[in-house]
Amino acid sequence: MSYQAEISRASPTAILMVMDQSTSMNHRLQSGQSKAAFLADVLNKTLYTIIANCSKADGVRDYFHVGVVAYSGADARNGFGGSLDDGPLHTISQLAEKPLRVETRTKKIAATNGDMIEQSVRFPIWFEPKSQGKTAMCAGLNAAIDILEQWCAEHPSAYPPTILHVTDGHPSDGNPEPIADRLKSLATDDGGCLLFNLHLDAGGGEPLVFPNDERALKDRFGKALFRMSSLLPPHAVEAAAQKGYDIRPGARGFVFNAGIETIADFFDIGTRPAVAADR
Amino acid sequence: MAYQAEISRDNPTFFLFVVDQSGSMEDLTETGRSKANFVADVLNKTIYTLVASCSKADGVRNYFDVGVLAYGGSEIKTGFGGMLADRIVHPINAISEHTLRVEERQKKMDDGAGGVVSLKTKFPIWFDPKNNGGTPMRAALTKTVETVADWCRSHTTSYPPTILHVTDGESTDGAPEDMANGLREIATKDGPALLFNLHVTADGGRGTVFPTSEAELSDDYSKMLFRMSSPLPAHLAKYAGDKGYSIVDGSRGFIFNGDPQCIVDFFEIGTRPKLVADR
Repeated sequence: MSYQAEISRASPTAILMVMDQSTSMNHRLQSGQSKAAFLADVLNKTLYTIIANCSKADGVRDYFHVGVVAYSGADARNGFGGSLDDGPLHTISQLAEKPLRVETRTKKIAATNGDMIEQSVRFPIWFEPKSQGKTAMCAGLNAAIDILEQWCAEHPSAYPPTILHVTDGHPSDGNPEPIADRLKSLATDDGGCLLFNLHLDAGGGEPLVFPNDERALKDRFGKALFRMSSLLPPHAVEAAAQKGYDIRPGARGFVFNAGIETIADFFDIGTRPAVAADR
Repeated sequence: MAYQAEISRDNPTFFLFVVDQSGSMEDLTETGRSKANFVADVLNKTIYTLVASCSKADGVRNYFDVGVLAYGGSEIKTGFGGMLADRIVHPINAISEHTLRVEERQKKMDDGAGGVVSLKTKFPIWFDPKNNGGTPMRAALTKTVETVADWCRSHTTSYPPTILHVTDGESTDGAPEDMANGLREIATKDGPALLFNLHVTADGGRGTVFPTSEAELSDDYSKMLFRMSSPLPAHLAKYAGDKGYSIVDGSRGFIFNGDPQCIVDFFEIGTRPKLVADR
């Protein structure tokens, strides 16, 4: 059985986000923010949540190695800035120490009666939104292969890496499907890398969440992204079901036409591998 | 130059929504809602936006007359109900005072910190979808011609009327094209009435937005609706361009099978005349 390895400080796992930063990511969502800005917020919140989940009385435990690959124009690059741009993957404790900055945000909260309350929150930033150039998806996925090939060789018994890939468009640098297949074939003793794909809404359509059948998609590129996506492993099925999604056998880690709610859920579900075990 | 008139309380303009309520509008869209329900939501929201744009410190100013004409089965009648049921056209301040009801809806919003919050919002209703029978489009456009001609007679210097026509099907009472041609010849001193058509079919084919030629459309019915549509005047063409649509000289105010965001944008673009002038 795959995806059973316990995640511990001695045997951490890796989470790699692969982010489309092409020009179209500056289009606005219905919420008014650009796709790029909302995604950056969700990604930064996800990093913060991972750090919080790894924080114990004795400090931040390094259960995860986390990286961000950003692609646009003709190539891919490290999505972290500042002093984290020295390598593709970082331990949780390194992340915790080195955000680019900490912003103060006004967060909207629903009161019990449904009215809105505003609250000032501290919001650490590791990743900045950008959107310029073409959709160098093949370059982005190839960069992920380079990073994770090495990581898997160094961590043969670990829970396999999870890749969250976010895009809104068609690749401009070739067919990404064989590259995705190679990425998924990278493995530890506990199974192959998990590639989850998030396709962003172009208009106001309803999202298709964790489909189990390619025929549910009409769009040719949507079908390709479906085939590029790993089956949801048991822990992700459980996390998705807890959020109220109806998960059928064979469901893939893929959302097509995601809006703000499904974007946030995708990141949450994709970054919750089996809770770390060591005490 | 046409379409230059300033819109003021002394010189209001006129928006007329002509809505197909034939039985087929109850067909479900991909999202599981009927087309009729979706169009009703967008129309109610559009009316609310028009009310809001006329709301000043001293109350709701009558910059607009707004009409709703509903057709289906053997009926051509006002789409307003309650206190407004006596006429097709009302000044905007009467509309603001006489909603059918105000619903409470949940709206998912970006919470400003990488998450999503569900908040209560007030949603005023003026128009309820009621669907049955055939599609008496010719009779509906005949009534539209009468209504618009009446209005233009008493508003000779105003910005001309804008008619937004939403339909999903073929006319069941004869070809409406000559009526539409007659409608586009009714004019104020500031130019002829603008007729924009939104064609929503059930088969979900590829959408065509603001085309310049009927060659871009495949079925005869869409081609006719294209010919029935006014070219976008310069200020609306610019506004549509700002929303990301590709607009060229000769683009008509016509959308075939737009996605939901397109439908929302169609109403927004169509109800955006030059900003009001009086203080």
